[in-house]
Amino acid sequence: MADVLKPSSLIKRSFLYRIHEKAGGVFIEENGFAVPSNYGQSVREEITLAHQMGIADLSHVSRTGFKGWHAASWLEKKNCKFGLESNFSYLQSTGERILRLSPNEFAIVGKIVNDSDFITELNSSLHPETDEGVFIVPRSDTNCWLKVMGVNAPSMLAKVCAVDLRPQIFPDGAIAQTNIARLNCIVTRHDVGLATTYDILTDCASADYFWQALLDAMDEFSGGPVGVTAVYQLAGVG
Amino acid sequence: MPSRLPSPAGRFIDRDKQIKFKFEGRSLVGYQGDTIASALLASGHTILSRSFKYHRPRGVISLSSLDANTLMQVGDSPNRFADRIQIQEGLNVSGQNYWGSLSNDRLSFIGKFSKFLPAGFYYKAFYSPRWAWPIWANFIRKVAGLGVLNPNSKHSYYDKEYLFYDVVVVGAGVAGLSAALEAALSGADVLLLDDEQRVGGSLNWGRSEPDENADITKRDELLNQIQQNNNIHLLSSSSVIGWYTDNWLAVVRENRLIKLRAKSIVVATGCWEQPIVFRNNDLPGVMLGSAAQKLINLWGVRPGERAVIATSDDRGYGVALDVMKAGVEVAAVVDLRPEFNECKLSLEVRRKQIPILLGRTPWEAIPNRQGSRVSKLRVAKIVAQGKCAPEIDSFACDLVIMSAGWFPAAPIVRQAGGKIVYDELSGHTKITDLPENVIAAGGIAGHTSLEAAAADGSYAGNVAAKAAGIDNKRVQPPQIQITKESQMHPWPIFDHPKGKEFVDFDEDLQIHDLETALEEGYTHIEHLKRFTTNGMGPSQGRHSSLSAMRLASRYTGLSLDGTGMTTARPPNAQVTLGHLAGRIFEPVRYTAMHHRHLEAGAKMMPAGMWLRPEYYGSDNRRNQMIQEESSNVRNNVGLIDVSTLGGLDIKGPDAAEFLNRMYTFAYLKQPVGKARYVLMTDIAGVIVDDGVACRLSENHFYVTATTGGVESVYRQMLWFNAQWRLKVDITNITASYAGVNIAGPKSRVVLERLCDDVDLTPDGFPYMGVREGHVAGIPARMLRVGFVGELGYELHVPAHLGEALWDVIIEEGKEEKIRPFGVEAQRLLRLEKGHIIISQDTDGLTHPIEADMAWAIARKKPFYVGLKSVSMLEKKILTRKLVGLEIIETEGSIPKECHLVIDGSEITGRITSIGYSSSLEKYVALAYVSPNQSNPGTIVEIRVEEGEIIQARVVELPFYDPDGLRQEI
Repeated sequence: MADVLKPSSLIKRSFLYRIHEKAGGVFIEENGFAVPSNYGQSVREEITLAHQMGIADLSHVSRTGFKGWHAASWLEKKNCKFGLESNFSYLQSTGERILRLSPNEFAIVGKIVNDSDFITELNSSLHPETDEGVFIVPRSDTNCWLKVMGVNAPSMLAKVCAVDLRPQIFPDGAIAQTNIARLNCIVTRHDVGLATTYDILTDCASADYFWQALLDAMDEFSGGPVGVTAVYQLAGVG
Repeated sequence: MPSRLPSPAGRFIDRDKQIKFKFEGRSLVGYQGDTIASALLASGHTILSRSFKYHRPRGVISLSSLDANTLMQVGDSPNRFADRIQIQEGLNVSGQNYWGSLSNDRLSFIGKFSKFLPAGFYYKAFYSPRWAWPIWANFIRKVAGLGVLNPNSKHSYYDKEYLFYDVVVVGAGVAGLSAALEAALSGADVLLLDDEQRVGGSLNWGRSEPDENADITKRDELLNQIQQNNNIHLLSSSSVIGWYTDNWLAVVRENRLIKLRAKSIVVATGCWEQPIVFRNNDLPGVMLGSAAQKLINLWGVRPGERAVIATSDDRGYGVALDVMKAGVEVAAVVDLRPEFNECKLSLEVRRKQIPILLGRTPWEAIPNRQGSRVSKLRVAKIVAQGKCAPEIDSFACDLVIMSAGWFPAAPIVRQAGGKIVYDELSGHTKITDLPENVIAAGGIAGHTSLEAAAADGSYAGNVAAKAAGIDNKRVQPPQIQITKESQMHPWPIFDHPKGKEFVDFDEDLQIHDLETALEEGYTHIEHLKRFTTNGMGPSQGRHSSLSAMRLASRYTGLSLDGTGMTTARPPNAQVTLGHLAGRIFEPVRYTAMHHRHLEAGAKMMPAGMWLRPEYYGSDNRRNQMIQEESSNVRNNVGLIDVSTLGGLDIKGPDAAEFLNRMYTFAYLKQPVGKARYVLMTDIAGVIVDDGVACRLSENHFYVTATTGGVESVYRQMLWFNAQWRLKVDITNITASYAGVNIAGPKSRVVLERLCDDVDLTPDGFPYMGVREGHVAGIPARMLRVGFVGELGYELHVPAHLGEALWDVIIEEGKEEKIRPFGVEAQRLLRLEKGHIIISQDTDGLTHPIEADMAWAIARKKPFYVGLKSVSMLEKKILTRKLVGLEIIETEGSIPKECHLVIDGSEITGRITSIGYSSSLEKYVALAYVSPNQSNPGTIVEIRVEEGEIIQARVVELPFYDPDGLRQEI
């Protein structure tokens, strides 16, 4: 029998690892973090849950941010592709997404599967003393990343967020910088497979509170946590 | 007497499912689908409550969850509408507002003194003689209030929901159903709301045709179409409690408050049936026609044995047909109109040879011997407005059904700006002045027949879709047909010489109460309402406002429109504080090491949104643990979590200039690799924050701020730079970094084991130095600062690595007896060093001079935020100064923070921080004193609890290690 991975055996630790442990999470290592592969259910069951109402912790996936008066042109020089519209997410050919938060501010989130070095390289290619007007925002540690999935996700979010996030109003790629359960959040509609999905970046220090608040809100939809294996399969990989 | 009708009567009940509940301690049985009220009436209980003032017995009046007659105590919850709440197994229900029992209320004697309790009695009585007030107060407290609040009852779960629709239709009667369908067919996303559990409105219980099934058939047809239309979302049991600007509706549904935004709204809330005002019109057994029809058709309850039906329109004849169907003998139909109006319903009643008395009215209801129910109705001929002939016909009956017409149920419409216009000639109302995206439809708009209401509903749905931005074809509006069947009676108010003609059932107001108020000068409808309390009960005037308007109109000579209506303020329906509070979100922030603190037995305390360890150990050893923790820092090494400290990255070519403007000190020449104290004042020169600025590179400062102040500091920085336009970027990275302070004489030893890429020698990494390196392989920003006055290092690492950093330091420090210390030990240690804590040792007026921090002001620079004010304050005479005190007397009481420093009879200051220093073996404090008390050696007096005076001596700061040798080793 293979050794059971304990999250505290790794130095990178999600703010939510204890919650995952309590929920019966079975961990695998991803990107240096112990990540719940599943919560004791079969992948099929968790995919079914994700189609209805699920939540997954993707805080282990790379992300970063850049802002400043030259941020847009600097990113373009780095072969990043994005449009002029703010509050929209732009898919890169390599699989990452660039979230344009304003004309001069960007968040960049990695691929949920096969997270590459794209973001690490982007971070290290910024030279503050020469790249004037471009500043890094440490999104990996500022924000946790939660994925809320399923046909009931819009109804659940309607209980905790005053912005209309229904799929017909809030299309794939749309971003809302808003407040959920009294926390500042960046919400991106980013469907995975057949599940209506919202990626939420919010204060990592409040991750514990936020996770519990969402679980409470999704209780009436019989929602629950979903491991990354189900998320990968929904995304068509893994 | 039990009065359940045989099956199939009762559309809402399931006779296969019996439900037991308790009423007034007695076990009763009803059916699933019964409300408390219907189950009680079915089991023979006609008295449901006692009236507010006179404690008169009250039964069903409207059965529409509108009036106080059905308010009951349900479990721990008082004032619940028994005609809204369905019975459940084991439900415990009791009456309210009585002394004794519901059937024998000892307080009913008050009614005999009604003559002495006119409107405004409360405002006029109790003032004199003054000695009587305590007696009154005792009595009033005993009899006032409805129901019992149990402060120990379990909190219920409430939450909120935000919804958005193109078209919201309020009211799912024939007009609302038709409107929703039409709007949805136009392509609109429609929400259909109804406050009843089962939609259909009066189609569920009314009778517009001799065929008793015509209305329900129509309802089923419409509902079937609604259910098949995917554009319509239907929410029953949902009450709109208020309309607000921009079509924002507040809706209560079960334990949820829905905040609803609509592009357009159709209000199809129908009308409220109006009572006839005559003597004893409040007796149990006297009810509105709609109430009787609901009892029969919805819950299969026979409302009485022998009835008189008094009506002013044709619908009363439909009621007569329904009660006859239920086996009630109809003694007579009393039609207030002088002439017989031929319609299908009236002709059917006539065909059944029911006596029809025209131009007559109920004049007086006579109670039975127990006073518990009507036993006879005296009927008189109307000879003029409100006047009757002396000849009286008497009818033995236990049921009097009354209807004086229907008045628009228009609070939502009126909140949206609409007005109800009353045409006194036609006896008809219409709605005017509504905004384009709020449409009144159906009965509320004057379309009282089913056909007209349906047509108007469709039209409204079409208009609403258009108003929501949907390009559809406009249909023509239906014309209002003025018919006698839909007229309101112009004056259904009949003064009786003996009174007891109730205008407002909730508040026990009779005609003479309103007349008295009018005679006293309260002629404006708003004044009349407030002086008499008419319309201030649960029904909010739904059955009484029109009568009050009529009485005011008669007195003033103004028309009804000229008299006006009182303001229709939200909430429109019962709403609990739980609904308004909703699901309370209280975000809390945990540091990366939070769970390690809990595992170590920390007592946590709030610090802004964060939780921090106050100390480690049990409550009963608090002081001991704080002393031990601080002593360990002084003698060995301690570790404290400082992740909650604010962290701001200031980057860009103008970063130094920016800091130079934001803080009082000088930063232009601050060397890279050095930290410098920062003190922030606001434009009034008041100290608002402090921290350190670490210059990581020429264009990059890492600035710390206080836990509670960082958000405000960040906002201030953004605000000022929006004006200055300096080339600088400000990022709040507080949560991005976990931080620890490893402090104590052995801290370097521990750190040396973990760090191999930074020279930790005193020369290599001196006091106030800043380095970037790795600790146990974890990238760290390292600051040599000395808040607690010992050799120490603040280590700031990416948050996801914080717990691992904590673990490794605790492990590697075991040999040096490392132990974590909490906020209280840190406060004590810094107090020994005389370091202030912003907002503890400063207040909303403290400026740097009186805080003895002039050393932190750079005098040569031309500007910093607050410079002008600080300069002016320096020129003024100082009124207080922060000094160090050592307590001389320690035998008696020990001063606490905020105890006053006095000088004779003058208050000269207060203690801001105090603690026992094990290192110094005495109590030390920071305190504000007057300037003439501030010289070292001065003895000052501190007034503690019970007025005791404690002496203290002013001493030089810091108390401990005045030369700073320990922190700079």
